[in-house]
Amino acid sequence: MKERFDRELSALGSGGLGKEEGRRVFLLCAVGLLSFTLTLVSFFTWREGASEGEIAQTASRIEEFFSENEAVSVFFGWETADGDGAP
Amino acid sequence: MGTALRKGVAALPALSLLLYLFLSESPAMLLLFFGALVFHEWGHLCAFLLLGHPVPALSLTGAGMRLSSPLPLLPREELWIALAGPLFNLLAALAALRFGAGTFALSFAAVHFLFALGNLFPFGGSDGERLLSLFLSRFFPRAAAWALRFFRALFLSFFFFCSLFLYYLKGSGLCGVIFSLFFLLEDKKAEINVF
Repeated sequence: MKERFDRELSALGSGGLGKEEGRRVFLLCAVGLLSFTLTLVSFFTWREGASEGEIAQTASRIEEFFSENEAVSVFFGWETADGDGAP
Repeated sequence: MGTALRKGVAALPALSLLLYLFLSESPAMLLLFFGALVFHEWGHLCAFLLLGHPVPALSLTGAGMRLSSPLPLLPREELWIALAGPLFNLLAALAALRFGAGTFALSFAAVHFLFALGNLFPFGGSDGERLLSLFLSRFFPRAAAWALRFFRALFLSFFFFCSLFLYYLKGSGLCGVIFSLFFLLEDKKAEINVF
């Protein structure tokens, strides 16, 4: 712990984060941004019913489960306990 | 040559699954799938770096990808790192269900949920296998190696027959059949290092 503290302190003293720390931050941001971008592009290219592969079929089965299960619908706020609303 | 062939065979489950997905899924669904994959690995990466480890190495395995630290991991650290990926996917799925609307949100939640669940199955070097290994080493150290092989074979067989049954009944689940069949034959130690 002390060694890491001294290493990071000396890195700050030299005027920057240090090469390793910079790499870590860059990688974290880059991977997070990649995931976000892929999801965003998927959202903008989404077409209803366009996919009929196995992921889409499995996803629709999970969708049915969540939609038809009243307790789950109430938990996620799709319906009130009286039964109004839809996902 | 033998080593290269073994390593090539080791990556076959993941590569065959990818090829199958490319042929059967829409571009938007594929992007969603890869977004979930990267988000899962981001979870592991966050755990590695928050625990103070250096940037981990990335390698390709039969199950997909694996991040590994050059430094040895404490059992507690390994627990958090293994949990982080599925946890990130699960939280994303729950957030989409709670705050999202429409079929995209439901599909997003389904894909992330599948990722979380799929990674908890204990085979192919998955997070589930690492968690099970930690649990068995902690509580049943003498029988850990044998028990891990037993549970691995049990889950794999169960997964294989469920996929086969689903394919017979509904015509879907073929990728589960292919995936589990390869894992029944794979060499676990053969990995391809990316960086």
